[in-house]
Amino acid sequence: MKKIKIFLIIYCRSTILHYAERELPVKSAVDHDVYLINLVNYYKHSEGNRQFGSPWIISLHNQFIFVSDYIKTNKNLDYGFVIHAQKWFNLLMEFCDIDDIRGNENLLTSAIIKYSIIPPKNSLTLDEYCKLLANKMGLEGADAEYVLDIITKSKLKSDLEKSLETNDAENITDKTYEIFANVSAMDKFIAQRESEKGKDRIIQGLKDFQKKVIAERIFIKKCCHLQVL
Amino acid sequence: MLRKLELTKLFVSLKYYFICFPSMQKDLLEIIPILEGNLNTCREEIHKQIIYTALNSFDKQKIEIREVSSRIKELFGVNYPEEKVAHQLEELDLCEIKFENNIVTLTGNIPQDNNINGVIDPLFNEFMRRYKKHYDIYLDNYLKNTFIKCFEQIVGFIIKSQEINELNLDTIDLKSNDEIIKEILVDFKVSNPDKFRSKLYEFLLSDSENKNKFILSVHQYAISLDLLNRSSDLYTYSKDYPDKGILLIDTNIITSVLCKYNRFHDTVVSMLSLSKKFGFDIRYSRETKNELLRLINSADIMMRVTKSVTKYERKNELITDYLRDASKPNWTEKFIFYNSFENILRTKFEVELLDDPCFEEDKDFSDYILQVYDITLC
Repeated sequence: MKKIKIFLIIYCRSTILHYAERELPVKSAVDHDVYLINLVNYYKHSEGNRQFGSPWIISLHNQFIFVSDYIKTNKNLDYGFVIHAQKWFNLLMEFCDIDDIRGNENLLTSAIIKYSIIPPKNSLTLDEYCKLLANKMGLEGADAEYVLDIITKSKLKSDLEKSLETNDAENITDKTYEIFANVSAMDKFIAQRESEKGKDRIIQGLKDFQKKVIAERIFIKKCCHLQVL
Repeated sequence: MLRKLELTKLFVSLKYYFICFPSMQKDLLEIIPILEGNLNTCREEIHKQIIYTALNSFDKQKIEIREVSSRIKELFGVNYPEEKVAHQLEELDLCEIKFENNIVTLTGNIPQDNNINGVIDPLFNEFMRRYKKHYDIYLDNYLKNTFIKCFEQIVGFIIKSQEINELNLDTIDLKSNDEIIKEILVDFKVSNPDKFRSKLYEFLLSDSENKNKFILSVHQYAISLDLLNRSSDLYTYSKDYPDKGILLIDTNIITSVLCKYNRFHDTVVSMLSLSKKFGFDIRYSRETKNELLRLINSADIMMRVTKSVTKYERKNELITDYLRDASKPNWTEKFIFYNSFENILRTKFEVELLDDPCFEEDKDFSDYILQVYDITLC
């Protein structure tokens, strides 16, 4: 009975994750792209090519653009379907006079700089990660300072920061669990904050998360033990 | 206010910089800012500057136009046919240049000032005004030279980014650009290189009017050079073509509009407002709307239902944007904001939902697209 219960818990969690974690099912994304190409194909046939080769689908998705170019080449068409937003922006900029630019200098410059000079930020900072954790605890983004406070007081803070910088998902989870499974440190923190008025919800969230972390660690240990056996 | 002459000075000076580094010779620069007048007039000025630079590079008085043409190719890496050179020379009105029977006779040096200070000084002064408390000008002897070198590189980055093929847009190696800036700072022994770099980037993204004019001028120059490279005729294009078609925006364009911290946010917002200025009819289809709603809901499930942190939250740009939002909204507020995308698109960009036309889907064509997808997804 207990085994069935554990199985059901794992099954339900994995089912939810299956739908939640994937950004979009691949099939529906492809169907969407096929529909858009068909739509543009219809416009090209009914209205012909217009200015700058429009109608266009404007996208940031390289695969979509590749497919469009592949079809154009292999079907010997004199028109494409999809154009990258950056390329379209560049094309329009080729025709801009001072009047088109006036009033938008900051935005246009920032677009050029972000595209060609400054590298994008791909990893989360500790502050951002704490905000995410707070949400996972059922708290709000503004309560992230409590989570940050716990992590800052831990010896593992710099390890966690390094893992965040390198986007090492496994290590991020490990370090987080290690920090929140530290019973004495958590008890001390909760005892310090428990007296604060109106913070019951936050304290409860932290306690629940601690319980969950400890239970999961025990569960993982048991699984490893069974695997060894 | 940057004057044309000042910017010309900078880019003439950059020519000498790039000559010192032959690997970058193809990026030789000559520019006239095109922000202070009509587009075609400014591009004509760029052509003139290209001819002047080529002529000044000879140490003889009589030059054949085929020599000028091949020198332009050598210096700028662009094809400039002899007849185009001849046309430009006929248009020039300078006493130092005489053009007869396909021979150019130089009676003196064409005036081109090689002083970089005219352009960089106002930028450097503004940079120092903003960030002087972080630097000791006496300790950092080469601060100005460092600043100049960084800006020279920035010009190179913008030109290179313009040359990139649209399929490789995501592969511009911004990290290696960043490494080049880091190397410059180390070479010039700046006392706190990380801080300098972050302040330099902050300055680049600031609202400085001088900096904006400089960057936009360089970008316009990069476009002109790219057009020359592709042998496109700069004079015959017009944005006033009456027949504007529909632009359909993909789901990722809408998410970029919604996500202020997305790398392409500024580009997409600029692109939408320019498209509107040019008179295009911008729409999104019902299918796109449904796809976006699925994406928003999937982000909501990740934030509300799954209690563990997974790698997927960091990949979902709606969630990442929420985490980066400096105004610190809670997820419910952000979720409501994302769900109001139709209103945002309508009020800010006049982008409306498309009344999807009734059309009979070409089954063979759809199957063909699916086959292409099958191959590319493998």
